[in-house]
Amino acid sequence: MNYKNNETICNYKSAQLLDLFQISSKDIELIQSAGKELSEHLDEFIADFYVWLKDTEEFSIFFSDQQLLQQVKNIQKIYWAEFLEAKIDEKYVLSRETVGLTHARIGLSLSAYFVAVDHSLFIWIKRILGSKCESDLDAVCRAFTKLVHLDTMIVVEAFSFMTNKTISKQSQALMEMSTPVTEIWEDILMLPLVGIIDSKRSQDIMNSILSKISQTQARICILDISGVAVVDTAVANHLIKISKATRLMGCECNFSGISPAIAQTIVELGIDVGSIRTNSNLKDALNHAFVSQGVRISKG
Amino acid sequence: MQNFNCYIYDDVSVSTGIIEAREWLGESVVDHHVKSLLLTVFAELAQNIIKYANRGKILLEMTKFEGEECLMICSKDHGPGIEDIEKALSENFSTSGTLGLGLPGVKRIMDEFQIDSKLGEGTTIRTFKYL
Repeated sequence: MNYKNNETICNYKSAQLLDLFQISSKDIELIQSAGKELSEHLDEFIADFYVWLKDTEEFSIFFSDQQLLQQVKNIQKIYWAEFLEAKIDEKYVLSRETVGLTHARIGLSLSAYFVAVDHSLFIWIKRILGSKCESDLDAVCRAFTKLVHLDTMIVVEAFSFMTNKTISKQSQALMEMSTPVTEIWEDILMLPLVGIIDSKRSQDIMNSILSKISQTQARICILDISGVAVVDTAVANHLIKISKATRLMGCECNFSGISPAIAQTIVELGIDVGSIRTNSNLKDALNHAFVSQGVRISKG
Repeated sequence: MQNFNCYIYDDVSVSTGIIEAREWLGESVVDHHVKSLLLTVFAELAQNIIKYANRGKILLEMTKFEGEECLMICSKDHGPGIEDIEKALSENFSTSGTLGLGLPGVKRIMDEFQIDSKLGEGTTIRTFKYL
């Protein structure tokens, strides 16, 4: 999946993020000064982390390849080096977004990611408490925690970005599958509608019917709405608009599949259906279409 | 029987809400016609929340109204409120360019209809259908 086209992944700029987590310049200084000592022990940190990760279920799934593992370790080292430098700008945010997108892409769950973050934080705090650092250790720990959580938030945003992207792709695919306008006879089009019709979907229906009419020069279009879950004023409005538009193109729109429940609903809602041709079932609608087109079907 | 609480905040939540409401009604309302009407009421109210208040919620509950078994559909939002309730309930009046049949339709379909709206505070609509 192509996942980066100058789209906004994290909804926050670096300054907003710092603000949200109340990370002050004092916090940054604390991280940087502690980072000077800690960054010399990055390899030990990575080693510690993988001792823990080896026993998790995710390890065998994602890191069975030795070469890949080494790559990941290198990337992770760069990641924490950036962290200890604590230069929080748009480039920093971008690097965290990439981390999130990568994890989401390989199918690592957010929960697993979160557990790993928690363990990383645990290792860092242990190291801070055991360091020769002269600053207030509590404050350093707090600053570390805040920045780790800031990182995690960007990753979470990236994960949900990917999820939303998948959902919109899926619904787009569904949408295309759900408006199959077919020419069932010369000059006669047919479209069965099922499920829920919202304004986006009705626009798609309108587009596909109108383009099919212009392709086929059809005179009659049958829309079967027996499978539509709810007919409310909005849906009725959409259907009326569709029938008006097709008529402008010289094609009569005929709604079939008006169930007793739908008929009653439309009357209760007080919708004026005066100008719309309807039939209770598809058979009648088809019959009417044949008659009006002068088509005669005979047995044998 | 558990209530059904549905949060409405975008078009997709309206669609999924309708599907969930249909399932919920499936257990409690036997009559197919009544179910279809109630679902329409749900859809109208949800549509209105999106149109005027952006977000809100709809509650479905089996309850009693003046001692009689009924189903309540209640919509609640913290939107701008309705300026002229009487007008909003009249046919073909709409401030959003749509048919203007939603609220009067809901009122006709349901047996009892209460509306409470304060400008700047929001709108609560309680409707009841005897079963």
